[in-house]
Order: sequence, then structure tokens, then C-alpha cells
Amino acid sequence: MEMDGRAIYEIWAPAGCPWADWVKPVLFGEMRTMTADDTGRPDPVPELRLPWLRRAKDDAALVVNLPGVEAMYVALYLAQAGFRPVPLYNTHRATNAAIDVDPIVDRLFFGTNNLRQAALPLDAPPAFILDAKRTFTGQTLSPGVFDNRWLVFPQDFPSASHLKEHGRRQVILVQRHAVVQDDLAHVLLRWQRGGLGVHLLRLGKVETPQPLTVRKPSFFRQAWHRTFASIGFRRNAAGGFGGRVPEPSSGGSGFG
Amino acid sequence: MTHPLRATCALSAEAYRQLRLKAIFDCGKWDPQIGDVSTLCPFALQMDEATCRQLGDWSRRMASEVTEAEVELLDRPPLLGELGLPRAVSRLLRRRRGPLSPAAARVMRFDFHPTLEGWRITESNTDVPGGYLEAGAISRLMAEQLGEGAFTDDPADRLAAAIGRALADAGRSGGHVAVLHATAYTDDVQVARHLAAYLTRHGMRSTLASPAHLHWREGRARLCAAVGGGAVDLVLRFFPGEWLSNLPRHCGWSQCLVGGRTPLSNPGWTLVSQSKRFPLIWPRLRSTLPTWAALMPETRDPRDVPRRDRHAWVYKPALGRVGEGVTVHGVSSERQWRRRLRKAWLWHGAWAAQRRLTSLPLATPLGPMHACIGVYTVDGEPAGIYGRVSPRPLIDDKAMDVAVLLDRPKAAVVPAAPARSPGPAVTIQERN
Repeated sequence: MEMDGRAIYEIWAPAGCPWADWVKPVLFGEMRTMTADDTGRPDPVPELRLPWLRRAKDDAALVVNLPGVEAMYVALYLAQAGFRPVPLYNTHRATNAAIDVDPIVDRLFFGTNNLRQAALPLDAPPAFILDAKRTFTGQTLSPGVFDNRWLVFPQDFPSASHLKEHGRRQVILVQRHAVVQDDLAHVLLRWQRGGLGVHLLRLGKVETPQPLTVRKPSFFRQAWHRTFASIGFRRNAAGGFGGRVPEPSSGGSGFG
Repeated sequence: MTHPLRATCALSAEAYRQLRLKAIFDCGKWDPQIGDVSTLCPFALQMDEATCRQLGDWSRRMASEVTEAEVELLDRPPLLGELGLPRAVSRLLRRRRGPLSPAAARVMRFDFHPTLEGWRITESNTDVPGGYLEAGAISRLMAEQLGEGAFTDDPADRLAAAIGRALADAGRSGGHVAVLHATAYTDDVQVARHLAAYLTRHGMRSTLASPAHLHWREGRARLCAAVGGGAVDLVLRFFPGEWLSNLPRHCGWSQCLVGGRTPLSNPGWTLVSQSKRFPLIWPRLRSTLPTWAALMPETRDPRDVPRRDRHAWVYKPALGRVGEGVTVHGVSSERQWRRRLRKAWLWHGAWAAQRRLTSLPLATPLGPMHACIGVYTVDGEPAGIYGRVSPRPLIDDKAMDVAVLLDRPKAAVVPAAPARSPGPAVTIQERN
């Protein structure tokens, strides 16, 4: 049976699931149709030792913030373990893009098979999935690269109230680094102030989540944080946020 | 007092789910969820044709009045400094040596609210109005789903048609349009793609681009080689004017305002009327804006509001969008109220105070809601409606997008009323 992007999205965001509305639809709209040859080919799932997961299912929501396709592989592992992956990729495909989303799209595509096999209950606890490389910080964009970086904002997630209404009392951030990215810190701090416990699990470094006190990031709760974020990006990128960095050989007086 | 709008019944849960999926995958709406709020309203609003024509007539007049006022304002540099524009933009416009960049297919949106005092506008979007997807394709979907009420008009289609005419008039039929947008935000990318699709439908070639993709050579816009290169015949700007000056200078952003020869829809100088402080300079213009003055509440510099009357005013950043920073006593939290009031007073040149109106809520399947009816004009003619509803008397990013339909059986699109000379305002007929 063939499935287009919409049908695939409905597997990731099934009717009746309390987290379905937050699944970002962008990348599903850019998928090819899944054919019979594609079905029955679940992605390989990594072997992870996360003994705390069973207990976490009772009252935790997860935020998986790992680079590139690694986040998706962990998401599929978590699906096997009873968590519902909620992909929050708020970016789009482009030629020669700063963020290569094609591998992520492929994992969403083939991971559909994993998700179907997992046969998760609709009220399975959520695992919000992010690309830790979304902001591409600390790196210079090469000339000709299309800048499709992105940020997360509090409105990309359910509120603390909504999480608590569905039995979540804590949030566990799963990532490799100790430092919390600024955009994510805005989200975590709101949850923390909303009465949720926040923990950090440094994948590969520690075995159990540790309590995390989120420091107040710049411009916390500023109504124009979103605008400022874009301004900051525009000042950093040589070609402007979202623009192509000019190629030195292309000439053109427009670029001085 | 009878409310001029009526809410339909809500869609069933399954019908709403199907609408949402169609909105995402057929219409390209990628942001149907903001926090805990599903932004697509499960019901529609209906208005009678008389109301629709009245709002359209007012919008037509306001488009004409503001166009005339802009021409005068842009030739009076001292007044430009009072609008709260970004410093670089203000300086560019005040000190300009070259001509203003030309406009083509001018698009605006006027946001009306039903109030105890009658219909009023609280702001206009004369720079970069949004809501195209919701006003057009999604409202049409809603009309089909509900089976009652008639879809009015599609602003994206009207804009694309106007751009096509502008190019044809310039001898460039089927020309190349650069759709300028903030590529980092998928909610802007979705609109850019939507507009590009309509341009294609009207026989034009389009390229999605950020402002940084444009080269400007002797005022003519070209796309840089990495995006395909080539001359651009018109720039369709879906990039807020106040963000332009944040771009590196070598992007040539200034040519979106001054010195460009490639026409823009809209050129960046339209920021002058986008500013919430625009009404403050009306008394000093020779141009008159009688329709604006009749419909817009009194506007002052925040420092001109007596302390004892502070609660009777709404405070807004001069260039805020989607309700950002709007502060209403009793609606905003006490902390927000105090903090923003202090900002509005300290940096009063970048804020405006607007006398508070009493919004008239209407009964809906989701309880009492406050409505905002945004009427588009394209080249001065009414061109569609973007509706929003909120449980609070503040339309911000948490408001729901609602289809606004005509109160009659499904039929052909209501033709736009022919242009006529300004006459006395017609008061709205109350519904029986």
C-alpha cells in the first residue's frame, strides 16, 4: 500500500494522541511516497543502556537534543521502549543547505515502519526530538551554502500545564553536552517555573539523569525574543540569515 | 446591540481533524499549533453582504488616503524622525538623495474590530500584511467543509494578478519575480511558497529568496549566481521592513527603499504608515485622512497620556507585529503592564498609546470570543478577508485563524464593488 507524506505524518501524529498536534509537519510535506518496497524495512535501532527509562515512563517527558540523524536513531530506540517520538524539526530542504535534513527525512520516512511495529498506545509518554546542530553555531558558513538554520521557541512545545495534565511531572533532556543551548533554555526554564522538574542525561557520560537548574538565558520572556533571535543570526552570517554566502569568484558589485 | 458577525456551528472532531490535515498538506500551512493553541478555528464567522461591502468601502478609502499621505510624508524629513523607525531606515529616508524605489501591486490590510462604538480599526498593515494562506485557501476549505456561507476572495490570487498586470504594463509579461522572505522561519517560507504558487498560476516565473540573495546593480535587482542568477523584474517582499536594516550593508537592502529601479510589492518606505505613531503626525500633514480618523481610536505619544488615565489606553511598540508588546491593563499581566508602561514612557519615541476600545464579544461554540476582521486591499481595491478570534480582547499570536464567510448559500464570489468617489460614510445596518 502506498503512503504519501500525509499518511506518513498520520502515523507519527495519530488521531487521539495528546502530543500529535506538536509534530512539525514541514518535512513530511517534502517526502516522497512510500511504496510497498519501502514498507517492512524498519531502520536499525541502536543498542543503548538506559536503565532509567522504565521509571521515566511513569511521569517524564523526554527532550532528545542530539546532532543530525543521531536524534532520530535514539527516537526509534525510545519508541521500542514505549515513548512516542514527537519530531520538532522546523526547517525545510534546500539545495546545498547549511543543515542537511535529507538523512533526517529518510529516518522519518523509514522510521515509520519502526513506529508501526512499536504499536505504541496513544497516551505513550512523549519524547520531543530536536537536531542539536539546528543553530550551526560556532561555524562559518562556506560561500554558496544555503542558510536554513532554525531555533526552537516555547510555542513549539506544550506548556507545563498541558504536560502535567497528562501525568508528566518532569522533563529529561537527553544530549551529549553539559551546556544547554540558549533557545532550549528558554523552553526548559518556562517548564521549570511551571512546576516541572528538569533533569539532564548526558548520553554516553552518565547513566542516570541529574537534576538541572536552568540558568536564565538572555532576553528570557521578552516578547521580541523571537525577533531578536533572527536579528542576532543576521548579524552573524556573512550573507545574512537565510541567504547564501557570496562566492568570492562570483563578483557582483552588490556584495561590495 | 446586535453583533455584526455570527459564528457557525463547529465542525465535528473528525471533520476538524481532516480540515487540519488538508490545511497542512493541500494548502501548505505548517504552523497549525502555537503552544497549547490549535490556530485553526473549528467554526467560521459569517457576515452579511452589506457589512462586507461597508468594510470594503472603508478599506478602499483608507488605502487611497494613506497613499496620498505617504507621498507627502516622505517629502517632509523632519516628520519621519517621529515615527519610531529603525535608525538606519529613518536616516536613509530623511537624507535620501535618490528617488524612492518604485511600488507595484501595493497590498495592505486593515484590521477591524466590532466594538460598542461600532466598527473600528486598531491598526493597519501597510508594509507586509500576513494571513494569505488563512484568508484564501484555508477559508475556502472551511466553506466547503461547512456547506454554508460563501467564500469571499483570495488575497494571494488578487495580488498575483495585480503583479501580472504590473509586469504586463511594463512590457514584461510572464516576468521573473523574486519572493523575498526570511528563510529561517518556516512560517514565512510557507507563505512565500504559497505566493510563488499563485505567481506561477498567473504565468510568471518566481524564485524564493532572502534579501541577501539579491544583487543591486544601478538600481536593478538580480539574483546571485548560487540561487540561479538572472535579472529580476519585480520583488515581492514578504520580509518586514524593520528587519531590513539588520542585514549587512553589502546586501544592498537600502535599495528596497531608496534608489532601486526594480519595482517592489511593497517597497520598504511603506514602513512610514505601518508605524503605530503614524496618526501622531496627521495634524501636521496637508493631506487629510478622514476615514482613518473616524475609524481609528485617538493615538498619542505615551508621555502625553495623563497618569490618572493610563488604564484607559493601550500601549503598543511603534513597529510591533502580531500583537507583540501590546499592553492592555487587565489583559496583560500586572508585571507585563508595569514593565511595558515603563518602557513606553522611557522610550516613548518607539511607542504609541491608543485610546482603549470596548470590544464586542460574540457567542461562539468555544465561548465568547473577540474578533478581528482584516480586510486586504490590492492596488486600492478590497481583496479578501483574514479573520482572527481570541477569548481575550487582544489579538496576538495565540489568536485562532477563522474563516470569514458571507452569510448566504454557497455561490459565486462576490464581485468587488466598483470604485467610486468618496462620499459620506455609511453606518452599518444592524442585523435583525
